[in-house]
Amino acid sequence: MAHTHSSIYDVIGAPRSSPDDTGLQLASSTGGGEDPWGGEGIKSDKKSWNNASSGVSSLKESIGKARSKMHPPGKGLEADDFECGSVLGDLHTSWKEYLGKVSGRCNTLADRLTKAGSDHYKNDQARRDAFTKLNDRYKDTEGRGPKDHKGSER
Amino acid sequence: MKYQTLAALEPADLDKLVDGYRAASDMGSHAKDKLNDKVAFKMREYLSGAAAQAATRQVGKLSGNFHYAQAQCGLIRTNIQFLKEALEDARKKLKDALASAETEGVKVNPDGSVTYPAAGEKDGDGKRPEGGTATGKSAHGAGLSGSADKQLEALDRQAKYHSDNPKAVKAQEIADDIAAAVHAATKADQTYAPVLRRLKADDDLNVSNTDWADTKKDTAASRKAADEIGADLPSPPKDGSPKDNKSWWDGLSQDDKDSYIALRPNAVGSLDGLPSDARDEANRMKLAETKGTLENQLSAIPKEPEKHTRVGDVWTTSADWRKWNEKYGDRKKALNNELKGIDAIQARFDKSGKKGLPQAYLLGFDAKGEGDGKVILANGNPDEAKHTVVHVPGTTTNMGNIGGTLNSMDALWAASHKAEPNQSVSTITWFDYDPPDDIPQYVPNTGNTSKWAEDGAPALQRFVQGAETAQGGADASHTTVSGHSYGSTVVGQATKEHGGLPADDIMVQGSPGMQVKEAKELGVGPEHVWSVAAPAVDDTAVREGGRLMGLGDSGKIPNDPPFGANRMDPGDHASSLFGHSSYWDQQGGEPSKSLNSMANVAVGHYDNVDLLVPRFGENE
Amino acid sequence: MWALPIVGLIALATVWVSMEESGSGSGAASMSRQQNRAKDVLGYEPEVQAVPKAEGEVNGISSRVLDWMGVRGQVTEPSAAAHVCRKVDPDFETYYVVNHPWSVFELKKGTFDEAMDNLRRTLPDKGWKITKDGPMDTKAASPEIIAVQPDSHHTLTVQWLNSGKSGRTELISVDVDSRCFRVPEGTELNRS
Repeated sequence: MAHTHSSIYDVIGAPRSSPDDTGLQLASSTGGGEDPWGGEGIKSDKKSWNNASSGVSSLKESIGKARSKMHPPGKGLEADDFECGSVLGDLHTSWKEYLGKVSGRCNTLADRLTKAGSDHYKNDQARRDAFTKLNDRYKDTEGRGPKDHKGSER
Repeated sequence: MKYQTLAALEPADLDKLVDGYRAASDMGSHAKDKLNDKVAFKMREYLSGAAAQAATRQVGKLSGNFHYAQAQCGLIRTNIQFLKEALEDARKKLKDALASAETEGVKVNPDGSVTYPAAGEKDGDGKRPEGGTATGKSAHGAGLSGSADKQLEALDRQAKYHSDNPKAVKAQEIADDIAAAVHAATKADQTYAPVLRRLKADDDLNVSNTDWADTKKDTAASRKAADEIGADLPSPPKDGSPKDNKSWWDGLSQDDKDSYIALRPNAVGSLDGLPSDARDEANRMKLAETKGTLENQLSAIPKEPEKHTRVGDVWTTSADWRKWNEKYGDRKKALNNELKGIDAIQARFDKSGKKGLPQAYLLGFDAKGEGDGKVILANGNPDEAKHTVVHVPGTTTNMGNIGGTLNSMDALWAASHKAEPNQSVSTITWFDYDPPDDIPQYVPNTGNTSKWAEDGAPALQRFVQGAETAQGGADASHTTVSGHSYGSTVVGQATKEHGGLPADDIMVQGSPGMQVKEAKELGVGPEHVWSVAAPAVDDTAVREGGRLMGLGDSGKIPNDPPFGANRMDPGDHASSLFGHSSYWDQQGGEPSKSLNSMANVAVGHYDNVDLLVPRFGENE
Repeated sequence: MWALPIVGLIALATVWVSMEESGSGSGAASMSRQQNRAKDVLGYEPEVQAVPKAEGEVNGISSRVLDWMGVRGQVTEPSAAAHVCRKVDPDFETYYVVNHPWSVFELKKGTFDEAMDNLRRTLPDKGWKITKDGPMDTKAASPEIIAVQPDSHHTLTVQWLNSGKSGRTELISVDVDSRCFRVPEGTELNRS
């Protein structure tokens, strides 16, 4: 059942506020003329995809800032009879690397989100596949984990 | 560890590492919150369709990476901090001992022994007592953290060493102090090396069940290490009131708060009076760790064999299956039940933003709880709400079916928001007691059927008090306590607790009795008591069963007119059989009268409530 | 005195057993069994419809109702959502209803009175049957209009609340509700 655009849907005075913790959300229609509650079709507007993309992308900077504060243990902590010294060194390496990889993941996801908002994908199915395929990319590497599940302490 | 190493260590170098992991953990926390509360939230609000769903799921997985980093780096920071403190302590004692050696003119040897010169009173032959070398005994060394009375120590040492050479005594003391410092430092090193080693980052980006299960073990190991070296982690007041707890928490440094959440998420997650943000943070950690652990336990159970087998012409249960069932049957059922509850909680998190639902705050969680599980979940932040509902579910509630109650509270939130869009509302599911497992427990000869209510009431009372404390006092929010079925009995019992139940309104659905005989005994005034009962067989069975079992005082239950409560119209419960759980449902193509009435009570619009008749005794 | 709860429990047990038996198996035979039982319980056979479509349909109705009110103001944000069809499927696996509770308030153009009148006039024109138009059975006795759509079987409940009440938001509360639907064969009500 088609319904015509109506300026009646325009809501005055209430910008889309960000959902706050009090749960108070004053709604307004998006962009004038659209149904306030999304109507009957698939909601898919470019702006929303791009917003998601920049949200994810912004995290690369956060990671960078945190990484710049992470230093390897200095010479002062290096000693044969200070076991924690070398452990801290390994820890540092592993976490710097992990955060670097997470940054890469942000990049890849942000890219796909931008593409999803554009004409890049043929149809919604292709768009969907672009995201589900990411599961294959980040599979678990069983048995190569750094945690020793056999023997030692616990 | 050699004492030279300890002397050369710069604990300040560890400070730099602490800063780095703090930055990483904080970043992880903020990033996770941004992805959940802003990015995914908005995606659910503005996008729909299969692609949007798949994309949102990927955002969720990325958020998992940050949550994992937050948890692990938080633990690393805490551990390094305690390691540093222990080393600093030991190093100070060492430096004091070395300085003392200088002053006393004794020589500290490379192996930590102390050589002293001849000294003391000359004897008849004009000889002074000889010099020598003292070897330290760490047990006799100056007490480090947690040492006893210093005077006693000194006396103790004097008693141990007797020598005519005063330098000998001094040298022994110094050697002992050096040995003790080295011992303490070595202990800290040996305690923390394996714990820190566990905390290496995963080498893939898939945060698996095992990763979360390991995080749980890492937390336990970290806690054990902290206990072993006597780390200084502030504890909450023992048996503190919500107000005491809040004061304690507010007085902690951010580092201490973070350490507490990292090492004791259980405690933070259940301390009434603490801010909802902190409880939610701790419980989400706990949820992830518990899910990982339980999923792993479930995968470890061998595959269930074919249940039925044919022997000749007869179908029977196979021996293999029976053996399997005896060993694993109950365990598998229990695990699946607990995981179902965890899934229901996660499902609620994944709904935030969709169709206008607010953020969810997990204020309490435990897979086992008081027996059937523990879930305390709020729609919207209760600390900031103008209207709060605390709802207690009833008989047979457990982790496996808690999703139904969560959905009902979502519906109540939406109806309340519709009734008063300009004031924030928070509806809270409170499931932290052990409810009766089935109605037949009302059958006689089972003993005291008020037992579950009596056991559960104190926790409810503390929770409501805690919620109000976190809000800033009883007047900060209009609070309604709601109870369904046996949940209402717990509510009634809670009003009798020391301190009373700090509610403004009390509403009950399908109540079998509230342990009082009149509404006015509940402490809010009878005009603030609301009851609704469905004219359906199952609801009647609960109510009348409760009356028989004495759950109401003197056989009086809330929907009896003389009880004096407001009785709400249940609406068209066209099903004559099932109505006991339907108070939050739309019925037969009409919106639920009872739901809208409850929403109006929740926001204090009492004259919009659809009552059956005016309240009995209204004109008293 | 004992008879009542025990009879009730026996009745419940009987119905429970029959519900368990129809179960949620897959396959056409199982689905038609479920549909037959649903028809017995509800008095109609639920339409088979995918959730997003059913929700979208209700959102559409709400938008039109807002339009017909002919006023401008703020509306609450939550949109239509699927909920349990408890009489048939309390476990919320294959049957559902759609509810959309919302309200319009802080009018910038038009009045609440006009909004109600516009609905009274327009609903019958648009094929809705008004089944109630009068004061609510509450102390405030607020005006209420209930209407049903005879083809799609949606129910509309409109209430003008809090007129002249200080400290409260005056608003028109709207509930758009559907009958029970069944998800298409081979699908289940999943969380997302």
